[in-house]
Amino acid sequence: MTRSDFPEKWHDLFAGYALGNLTPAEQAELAQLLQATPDLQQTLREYEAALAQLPQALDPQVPRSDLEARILEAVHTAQASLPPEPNLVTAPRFNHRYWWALGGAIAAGIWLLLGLDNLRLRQTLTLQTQALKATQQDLSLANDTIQDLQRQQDQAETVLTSLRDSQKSVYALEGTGDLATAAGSVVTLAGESKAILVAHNLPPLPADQVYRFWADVETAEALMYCGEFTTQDNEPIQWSLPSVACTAPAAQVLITIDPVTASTESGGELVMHSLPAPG
Amino acid sequence: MHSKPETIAPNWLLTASDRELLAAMQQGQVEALREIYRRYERLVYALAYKVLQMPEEAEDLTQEIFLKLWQSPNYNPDRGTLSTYLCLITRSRAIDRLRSQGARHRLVQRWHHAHSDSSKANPPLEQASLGEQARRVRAALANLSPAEQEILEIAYYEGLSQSQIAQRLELPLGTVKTRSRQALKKLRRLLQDLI
Repeated sequence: MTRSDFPEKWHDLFAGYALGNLTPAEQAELAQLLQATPDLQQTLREYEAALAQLPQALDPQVPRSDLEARILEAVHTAQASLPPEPNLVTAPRFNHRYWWALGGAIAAGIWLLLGLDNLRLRQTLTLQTQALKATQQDLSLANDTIQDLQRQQDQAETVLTSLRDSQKSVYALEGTGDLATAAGSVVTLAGESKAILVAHNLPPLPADQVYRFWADVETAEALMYCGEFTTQDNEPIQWSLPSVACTAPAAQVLITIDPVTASTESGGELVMHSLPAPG
Repeated sequence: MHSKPETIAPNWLLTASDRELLAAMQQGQVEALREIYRRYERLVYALAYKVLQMPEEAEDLTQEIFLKLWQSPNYNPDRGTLSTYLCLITRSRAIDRLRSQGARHRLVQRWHHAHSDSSKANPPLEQASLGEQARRVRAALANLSPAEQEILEIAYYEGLSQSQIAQRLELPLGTVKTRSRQALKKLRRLLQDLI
């Protein structure tokens, strides 16, 4: 298709574009046309160029003769004030607006650099503050751990001392029912009338419940209530034995879960019992 | 100390093409800019004056156009002649100035000026040409009807909207669009070998 073969509608669009009087619908139509046929850009430029020829027909008008000198002087001034760079056109200085713009640009650049530097420092400070806080938190945790270990060591030494110095009975325990995975050992100390339990997987209880320790001793016809306790994090547990009879060697010991308010006449749910002594 | 501009161009500049002058200018040769200025100062100034109607403003804009060309030449020779490019940017900046300096007052001023010009016995299009291109453009415009010439010139030099042109010429908006497009299509056909 040659240029003269273009539909008249296309030429209307090109002319309207050059004149700036296309409607929005025509703009969309032209955009689609140019997208479909990019070569039409050349014809579009011809219309722009044709319109741009109009000034050629203007009455001759000559500026004042010193305008050329003023322009060149501005260029030379700029060249003298700025060191020339190879292969680059030196920016001319031509009027006050240029210098205001240049000054503004430099000020804006400095402001931007300072702003960026300030932002970078703020970010660094923030990161360092965060790191310091994290370190302080780690240190606090480490201190807590040390204190816990110290406390556990104190408890262990207390237990060892008791075990060394007292007449004792030791029972191995295993879980049953819902706490079948529980296991542990309990020691009753006759001299101190207390019991020490080391247990695993014996969970903490709700506030209205408690573990109770029972012993099957010869002096009693029924299981003897021998105190109660709660657990916390598998730590050794100590409690006072309510009766000297509880320190006597027992055929079996049991642990139950009972309401805090329940009578000690009988036990609740059985969760651990002692294993028969070996051999 | 500033070096004074030379007043005599080297011989090669006088015969160099616009493309060669631009290349030299981009290498920092002020003499090339001066030669470009000498070739197109009248065209740029005439256009600036036609739009702005004020000699001082037209000179200021002419200076701005050539210094802009020196500072950051965006002209692409593959997309048209240098004269076309200079006319495009001069017209664009002139109309921007016109609009920013109080359009209503300026347009009234221009309107009176245009009417006084039209009463002259020797309108621009009938005057002797300064060159072949000017002669061709004038001849092409002469092939348009007076109404088509008028509407093209208003659209080009005054930067009015279509509705403003319609109001000015007391024509329906559709007629303004149709007539101006028809005029430009004719002009393009007549100047096909120049553009």
